[in-house]
Amino acid sequence: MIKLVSGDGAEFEVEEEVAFQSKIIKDIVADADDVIPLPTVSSKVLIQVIEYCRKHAAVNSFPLSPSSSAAAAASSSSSISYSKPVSDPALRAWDNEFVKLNNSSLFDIVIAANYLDIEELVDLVLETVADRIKGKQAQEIRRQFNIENDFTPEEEEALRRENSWAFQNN
Amino acid sequence: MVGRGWSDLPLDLFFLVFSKLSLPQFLRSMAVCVSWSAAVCDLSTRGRCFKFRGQSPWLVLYHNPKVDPSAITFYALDERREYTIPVPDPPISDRIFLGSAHGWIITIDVRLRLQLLNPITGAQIDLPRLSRVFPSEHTHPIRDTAGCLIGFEMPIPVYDGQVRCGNNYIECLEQVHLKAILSADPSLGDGYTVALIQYPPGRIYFTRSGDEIWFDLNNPILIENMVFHQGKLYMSALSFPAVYVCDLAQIQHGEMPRFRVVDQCASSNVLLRYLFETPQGDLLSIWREKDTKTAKTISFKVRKVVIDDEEKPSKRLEKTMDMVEIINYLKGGRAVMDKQILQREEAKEDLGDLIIFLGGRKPLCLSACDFPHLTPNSIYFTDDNIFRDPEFEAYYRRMFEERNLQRRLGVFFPMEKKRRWTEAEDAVLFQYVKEHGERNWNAIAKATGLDRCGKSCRLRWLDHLKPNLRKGPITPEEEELIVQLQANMGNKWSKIAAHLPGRTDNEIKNFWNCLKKKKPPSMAKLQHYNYPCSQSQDNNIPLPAAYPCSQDYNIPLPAAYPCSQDYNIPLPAAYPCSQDYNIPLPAAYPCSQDYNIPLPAAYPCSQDYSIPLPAAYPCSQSQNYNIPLPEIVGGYLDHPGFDPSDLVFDLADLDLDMDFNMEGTMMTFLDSLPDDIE
Repeated sequence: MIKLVSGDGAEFEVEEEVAFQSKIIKDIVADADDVIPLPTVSSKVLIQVIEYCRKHAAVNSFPLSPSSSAAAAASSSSSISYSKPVSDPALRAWDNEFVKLNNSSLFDIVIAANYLDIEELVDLVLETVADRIKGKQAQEIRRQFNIENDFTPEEEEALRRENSWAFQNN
Repeated sequence: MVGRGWSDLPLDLFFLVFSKLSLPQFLRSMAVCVSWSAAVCDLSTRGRCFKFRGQSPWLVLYHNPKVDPSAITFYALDERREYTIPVPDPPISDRIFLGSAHGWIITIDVRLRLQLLNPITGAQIDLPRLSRVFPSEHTHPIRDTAGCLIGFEMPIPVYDGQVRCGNNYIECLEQVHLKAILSADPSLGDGYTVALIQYPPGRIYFTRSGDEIWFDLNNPILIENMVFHQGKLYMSALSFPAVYVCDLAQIQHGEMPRFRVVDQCASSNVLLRYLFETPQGDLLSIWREKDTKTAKTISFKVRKVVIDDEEKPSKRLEKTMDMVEIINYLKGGRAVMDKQILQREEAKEDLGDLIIFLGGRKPLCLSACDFPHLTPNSIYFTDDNIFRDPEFEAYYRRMFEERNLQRRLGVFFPMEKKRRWTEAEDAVLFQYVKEHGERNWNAIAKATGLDRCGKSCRLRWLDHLKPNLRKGPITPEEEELIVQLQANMGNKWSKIAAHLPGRTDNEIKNFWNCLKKKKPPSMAKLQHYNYPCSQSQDNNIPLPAAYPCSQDYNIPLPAAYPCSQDYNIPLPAAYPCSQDYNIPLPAAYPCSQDYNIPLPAAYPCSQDYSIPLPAAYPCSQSQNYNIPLPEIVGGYLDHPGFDPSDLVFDLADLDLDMDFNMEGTMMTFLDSLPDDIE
């Protein structure tokens, strides 16, 4: 068991394979005792990250659910596999549920995941963010992501003029 | 939450997000705030070190009357919307698109100047003039009714059996058919080659960056399609089934070019040949075989073109693959699959990832990994280049007559199984659409978690679940209304459907088609399409390049373009469709090794993106767009308000078993067009 300590002092005991979803922790654990302080991560965020790691650790260590074992057999029969990192449909569905959070929570998670070097989680969150950006104009993006418009009107106008076609409303 | 938020993401995370965006969205993100703008600038100068997700192909909406002639309108498949991008002179209405590749379009203008145009950056490169072989004083532009250039005519000396002109030769105006391919992205620097087919007389010319002339390939064989592959030019012959290869470097060194056969097909029925490069870098050819009597498509054969390194001609062929095999091949990289293991279920699993764009000139094959916004497991195709095909003759006749250059795009989902919708699935879909409305069907399919494609969801909703649907046969009153409305509005099925509560456009269209078969010629509109020149049965003998009724040809003709069935020679593509057929590009482009080359660090940023770029090329602006430009795929779409999901054809509607019957599919696609063909 590994003990993770959040920035606000809460302690979380997790199994090795869960904590090792984070490459940073994996590296640290090799040469330290098993208490790892994570001063920049709040306990609220850490709970979510651990939840994610727990799920992925479980799926990654026991991948042979009936459907995925068939898929694995099928993909091993063809020489090149194009599958994306998360190929298990059940896990993908779980991931989709997991990221149904507001954008500020997602921000905290992605910062923590980046800090802990959990590549799949970073990618999952940013993919979600990219999806939420898609098809939107700047004002909507600002509103959605709670971003302040710090351009002067002239600057913004100039930016829009540069590629005015991309700013056309459909 | 103070101070920290999406406006100050670490730069590497910014890159990760932005690299998942389409090009227009990427540019729009600049206007969000100062830090986003800086990140976009930074990323666009360093784009090549960074792996961008492939950009979804764009379709050219060539014939867009509402738009000014100094802009091109594209349809972005991922965002399902149009973009109108201003481009430098000459105006688009004075240009024909001869092809496209690597985000560039190859055009010829009314004064016969050839150019490479990058619509995104506005960069334009003048190609050498073709004046020696294509003299402007003898070439007449053809324009459609809206004044847009759609082709050229050239006088061709032909033998006239009726001896009218003193000697036995008269000059006939013949439509010139041009298409061009481009070997590499010019914004990466020199080293690209442009090849051009001119028909008649079927010559191939090519020029490389920096050349001042077009080299004549002196090709002894008439060529239908060509593709660059590993620095050589591969060509499929027009009149018989074979693939040739030619090394262009030989000619530039002053040697006579040698043509060697690399692939031959035994059947004599083959009519259409596509050549394309796979993401794995193999060269494949697709032969569409037709029955000589019925002119119906019999099969599609896909072959791997095997290239021997030795000089001796190669006739070694891989086994002919059927469509399922090709798809598996593209997926798995194995050329020959045992048919036994291609059980349908397995194949379906395996197919999930492939996207093919099949068009007249050059197919594009993509992997859905790189293009997540496209529907995987599908073939997008246009009905291009079948205009000289008896199967589609009526359709093209009408296009000729109306000079209506609209193209259509179909999406084909191989291996989508016919599965009944369960009550549970219906309930999920119904609930979701009720709450969220009828929007992007692909997104709905994804969000509901149903194992169905967007198209299938859409049809299920429209035809079965939508509230207030009227079930049961069309009543006589409705029939009367349909006939009347069709006479007034033409085949505008969705508009007609608006007058018939509870009926869908598809239902009405099918009803109308049945009705039409029962009572064929009674409808005025159909008679309208009767061909002026139907007396041309005298011309059943395949004429040489000659135009059938020459005496009529004093002036460039208005709309009526007679007697297409006599055209056993390939009709100039310029006519009904050419410019749209901006050839799908070699798949190699979108996402590969190109981006890994670190650029010289100092790249001045944003201000270089200044918009309408000067016409002259030297502007290095193009270099700043280091993110992959969208591929441009030819294809005319119906306009306005085109929705590809209206055109997609769902295999689930067909009872297809083991074999994947391309013929049925193609035809059904055409049948299912919303604005039906005569």
